[in-house]
Amino acid sequence: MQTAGMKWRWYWGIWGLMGLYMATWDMVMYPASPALRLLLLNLLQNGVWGLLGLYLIWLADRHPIESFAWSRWRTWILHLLASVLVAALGLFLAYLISLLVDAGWEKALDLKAFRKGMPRFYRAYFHTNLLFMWAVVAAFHALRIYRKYKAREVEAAQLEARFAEAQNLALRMQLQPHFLFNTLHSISALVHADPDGADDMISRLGDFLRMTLEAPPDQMVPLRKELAFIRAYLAIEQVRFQDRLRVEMEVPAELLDLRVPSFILQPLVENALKHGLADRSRNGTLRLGASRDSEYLTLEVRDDGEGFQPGREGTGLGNVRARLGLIYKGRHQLDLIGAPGRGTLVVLRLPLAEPDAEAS
Amino acid sequence: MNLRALVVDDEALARQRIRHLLRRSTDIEVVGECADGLEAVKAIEELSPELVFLDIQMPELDGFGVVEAVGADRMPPTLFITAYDQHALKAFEVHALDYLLKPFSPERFHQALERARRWCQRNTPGNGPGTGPDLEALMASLRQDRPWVDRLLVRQGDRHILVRTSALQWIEAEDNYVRLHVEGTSYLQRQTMTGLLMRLDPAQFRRIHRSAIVNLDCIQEFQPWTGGDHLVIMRDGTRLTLSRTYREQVGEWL
Repeated sequence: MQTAGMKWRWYWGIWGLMGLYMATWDMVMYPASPALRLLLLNLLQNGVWGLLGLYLIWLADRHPIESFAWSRWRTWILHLLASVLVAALGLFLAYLISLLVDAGWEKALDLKAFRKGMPRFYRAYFHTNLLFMWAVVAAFHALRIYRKYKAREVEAAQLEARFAEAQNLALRMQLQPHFLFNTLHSISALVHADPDGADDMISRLGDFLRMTLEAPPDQMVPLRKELAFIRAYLAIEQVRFQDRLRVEMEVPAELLDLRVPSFILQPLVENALKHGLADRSRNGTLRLGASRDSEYLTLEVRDDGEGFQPGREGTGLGNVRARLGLIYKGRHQLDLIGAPGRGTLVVLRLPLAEPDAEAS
Repeated sequence: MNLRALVVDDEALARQRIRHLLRRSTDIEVVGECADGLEAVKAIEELSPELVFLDIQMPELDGFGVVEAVGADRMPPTLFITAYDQHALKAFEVHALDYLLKPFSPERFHQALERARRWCQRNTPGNGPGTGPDLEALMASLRQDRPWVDRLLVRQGDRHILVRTSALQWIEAEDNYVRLHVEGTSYLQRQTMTGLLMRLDPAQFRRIHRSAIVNLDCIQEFQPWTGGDHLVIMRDGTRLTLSRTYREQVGEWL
């Protein structure tokens, strides 16, 4: 609210200064005229122009000039015509005011005298006045572009922060110390019982760590890459859970090149293990599926654990939601469906149109 | 002497690791392996082992839950094992308890085992009072940090049942026991009302009478009654009394 008020204070302030400036000009041109009258005249005229300028601002707000592309010629023509009309109307009113201030009502309403002076007045001032109106439209657009730029900067910073957070989370939470130490412990058991298995596990842990550490700086990665990461994670969990965890993945090959936000699936899979499977002592199955239609890529993570209870979302899920919101601006869907005792289904629907492509 | 030991860990590989490390310690006989807390409680009561290797993070009932269910005073000497739990580690340090951090080396394991052997010897009848780790003090300090449980272990004959506290409707005092009313059935548990109330989340459970604790989610309505008392009608139709003395417990609604 305060910034909006500030904006208008500036708007009227500038018109006021213009009035003062032009009054001094008139004082130099017509030293015989009383200075106070010249001041009053110019302030009134500029006030009227300021009022008319509001219409141009209103128009520019409804039909902003978005680019310099030729295809936008209609908007340019609209603003050109509007500014010519407003400048003409503004001069008419200014002329009327000058007659009123100079000679009072009688002379102002004398049609003959009115007509006689007008062409000269227009020839002298029209071009300057048109320039003023263009300045109003230009200033409005400059402010608008500046704001948009600021907002985008803030948004980019937020997105960056979320992404950094996600990467951190991948390191700290998913690769939580628990996970790492338990895995190392499993390896120390395997070393004696099953040297080949231990060997295998070490390379799986290596794969997982490499993928976490070498995560590309991009927000979006091919589904292929995200799934490889999930596989490395699950490969380790599977050895640790042994017979307790079964994993089924059903992802059609033609979807593997579609792009998804990096690290987006992992918190969902981790949740499925934590709440869906680890919290029961016996076997559990984790299903990962993907499908698409003309608009959306749909990813599903399903477990057969105790079932999600609404209102118990953790930080992992909160972060996923926040990141999706920033990337897709509400064009995605994330639903959790829980059936007590029968498991949880997480459905993530991502628009196929790339968010970046649209923004530029 | 032979020590009868129980190995508790939800990961088969972790149990295997302990068995492997114990293979040359001929004085220790592994009498059982448990993959979760519930099994562990049962095994401790049935097999009465003299030493327990107890993993802390386990599904459903964790290591501390096992100690609580068995009773800190009746728990055999215990070697706690954890992958990462800064919270528990602090408590262990404070109470000078030995613990094993995964992954541990054979040396570290045997060092901890040696200490455990000594407690066990001291604790054998005839060797005077036990000077082993003070489990009761440990549990008390853990309780301070995480006061509320979300599951209770109740005994029915020789069965052990895990009850989610959210499923508890109300609790009734019966002499030295409490009766837990859970969805159409009830369990008798040896515990005091005050002791139980301390373990329940006050956002969900309130005491409304000397002999009744209710789950707020299960209350349907309050009706004014005589002498400043209120009648509490539960969703399942049960009628309880909110006595004047405990009225401030639900003061925000009345």
